[in-house]
Amino acid sequence: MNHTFSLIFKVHQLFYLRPYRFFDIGQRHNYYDDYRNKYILKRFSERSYYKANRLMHELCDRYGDKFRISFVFSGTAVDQMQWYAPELLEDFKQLLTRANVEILSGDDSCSALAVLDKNLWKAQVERHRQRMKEVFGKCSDVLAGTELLYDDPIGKIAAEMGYKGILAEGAKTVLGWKSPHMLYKHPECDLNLILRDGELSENISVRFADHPLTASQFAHDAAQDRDSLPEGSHVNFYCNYATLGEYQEEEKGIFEFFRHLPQEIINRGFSFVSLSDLCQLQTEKPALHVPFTTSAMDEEKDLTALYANELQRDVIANWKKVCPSMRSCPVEELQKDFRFLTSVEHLAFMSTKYFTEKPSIRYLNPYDSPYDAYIDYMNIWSDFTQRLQGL
Amino acid sequence: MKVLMFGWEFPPHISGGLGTACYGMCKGLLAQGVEVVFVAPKMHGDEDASVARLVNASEVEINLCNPIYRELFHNLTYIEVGAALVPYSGFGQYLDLEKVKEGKSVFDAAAYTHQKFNFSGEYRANLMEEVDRYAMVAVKVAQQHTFDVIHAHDWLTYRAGIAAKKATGKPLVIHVHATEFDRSGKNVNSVVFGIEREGMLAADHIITVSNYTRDIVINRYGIDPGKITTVYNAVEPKDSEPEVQTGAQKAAKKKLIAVNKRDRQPEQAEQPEKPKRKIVTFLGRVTYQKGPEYFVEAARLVMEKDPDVEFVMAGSGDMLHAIVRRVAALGLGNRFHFTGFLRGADVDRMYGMSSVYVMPSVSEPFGISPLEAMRSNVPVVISKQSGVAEILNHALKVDFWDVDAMADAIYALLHYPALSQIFAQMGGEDAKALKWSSAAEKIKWVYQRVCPF
Repeated sequence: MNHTFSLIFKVHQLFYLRPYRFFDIGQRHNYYDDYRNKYILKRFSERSYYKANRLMHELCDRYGDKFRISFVFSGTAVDQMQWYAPELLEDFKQLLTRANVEILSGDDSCSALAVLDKNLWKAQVERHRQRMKEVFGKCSDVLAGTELLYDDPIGKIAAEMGYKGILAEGAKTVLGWKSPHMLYKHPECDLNLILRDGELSENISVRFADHPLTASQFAHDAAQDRDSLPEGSHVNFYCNYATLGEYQEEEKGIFEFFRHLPQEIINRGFSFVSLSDLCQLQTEKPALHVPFTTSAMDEEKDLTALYANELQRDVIANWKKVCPSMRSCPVEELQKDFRFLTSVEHLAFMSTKYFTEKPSIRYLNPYDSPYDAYIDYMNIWSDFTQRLQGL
Repeated sequence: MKVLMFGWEFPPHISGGLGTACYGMCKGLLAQGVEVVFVAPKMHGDEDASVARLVNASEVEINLCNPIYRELFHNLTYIEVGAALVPYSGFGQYLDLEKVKEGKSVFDAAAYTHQKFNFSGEYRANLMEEVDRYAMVAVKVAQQHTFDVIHAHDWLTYRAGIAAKKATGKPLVIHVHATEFDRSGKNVNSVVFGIEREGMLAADHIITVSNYTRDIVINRYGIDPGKITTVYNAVEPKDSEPEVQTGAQKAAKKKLIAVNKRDRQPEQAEQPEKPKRKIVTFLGRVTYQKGPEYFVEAARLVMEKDPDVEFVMAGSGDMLHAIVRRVAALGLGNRFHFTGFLRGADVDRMYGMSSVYVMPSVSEPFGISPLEAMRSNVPVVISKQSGVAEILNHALKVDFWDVDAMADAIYALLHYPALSQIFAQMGGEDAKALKWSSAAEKIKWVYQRVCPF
């Protein structure tokens, strides 16, 4: 019997937009709040990234072969590190040279293109894979897209692109009584479905400060349904890397939690695996149909975080409208702006849901109201589309 | 002749059209040889003091032990407004109101004896309290100055005017710039209505800003038509506007201009000629009275025919969020922009960029903003339910609810150059013909009528 545990971290930075007034339309094309972007990256690196990297080195040293981590970097995070904090990028590169550390494929800009335009999405994923190889020298055949957006058509394309596995949300709506701690397969293609345990992950990433957990309690929870799974339990923990130190503060003991986690996990009879190794496992993998899109967002684990109100629907409709022309747009500057402007967080700022769980939305939101976010965004978008039409 | 004038705001610190009108009026009266002592709840020190002697009510110390207060205010009780139905109130101000509700009484003697009261001069939750305090200060101001007639603008200052009249026996003229029926439609705040009617009954003469308003005063408030005169507002010629910036703002603006220049020069070199953008503008508070929702519906109709037109809603107010939602739901967001509240130079910049100006007000006593647009040679579409419609010849007039007609008018002004040129040119003339000096002449005539000599 083979029980496995995988630790997956996402590193992502959004390009925040500056207050862009109506008068700027057609006049100025610098959309980004450089000061804020720089400041937030600096804050994150000081409070989180450097310390977390040091911890990961320490764990790799201590457990050697027995420890594995997977990372997924968004393209915008890499852009920001290259522009604002090259020394941070070097620090990550150091960590990624270790054999214990795997790097996953993803979408370049954390966009919702997977559900908007499959052609553009494919191009973005391809671009991202190339970049990871250029910057970090490696990239595995497992895909972890924006907010784990997934449905059957997305899986089919991923399989066509040569991916062995894809990370998706273990959403109750598609699983029903089935356990997320199993490996599943795409119903038609040869693609492993690796499911995140949303509850375990959010116990740490969202609830740790208010409901502290010890590493041993966490490991106990992770092992709970192990005996009922004949093929072994495969638990996947996925959260933002900034959970360590930024979203969950150091004073609350988040670093200590992760320092003790590997030992507790191993004590429970799990072994750490990378996601590409997980795809190699020869176990029985039942097919899982995912007819509608699931995601790692909010309580609903679907698209309502993006589609819920008129403001967001209008923005998405606008995105869809320009997708055809972006496929053939030769101007690198416009392609760049398109990537930066289509990050899903821009939509999340317009959410009017009462409980938006993501800490990045909760306390890093620069807008007073969803309406301000929409007004600012649409001013920028008008300028962007004017430039596009002016070609 | 000397006038004691009670206002609520004075440029550059304004939140509506009232301050601008007072400034123009003072200037016009001065030219007519009428001296004005202008009292406002709060002065900031950067107002243009050349047109009137300015009195800051916040700096007037009153002694409540003085018997005149007992005499004049013996039945004055502090009336609380039970709902957020104050004019110019914004969305977030409801919370302020709740805070104030925690109960205070005006005659908390220890606190107010020998005290200055620091007025906010804004349209906030404790508005009623400020209105009553203002009346008390008015008594003191009236005793300190000599004058022939009292002139009070809008309901906020009526009580001050009445108090000054009682204290000195001088005649009172009240100036109705808006009524509660304009602001709230049928959901009238009875307290405000009461104050308005009290002022109208106590006044020796009433000036209304249009016949539209005159009719409201006659029919809704039951006032004798014989003592109501209409005096239309006017606009100041552009170059004589008071400077709207403080020192710090000026410096910031200079910097901004420098930055703009730097930013723009290379661009302009690249593309010297850009096709003119077709921009249709709404400028005003985004509230029920101004009819913003009809503007949105008209925008939808115009954009169906011509997707290149851009619409701008400049201003803020309690309906803004609802309007943003409506715009998004109609999928117009890409071409429909919101600028927030604009002031000073930004307003002129906005007019400068506009191809058409629309004022779809549901009920507008006068409406000075179309005149400002016409002064900038922007053709205007105005609602028939406005005072300004009575005097403008070169403006397209539609019923506020008739969005098809409104869309039609906008589309015509955008697409038939002959029409828009005539309107821009002749409209400019129309607006320039309305001078404060002629309005002041008429106001002076009213003063002379009520003065005993």
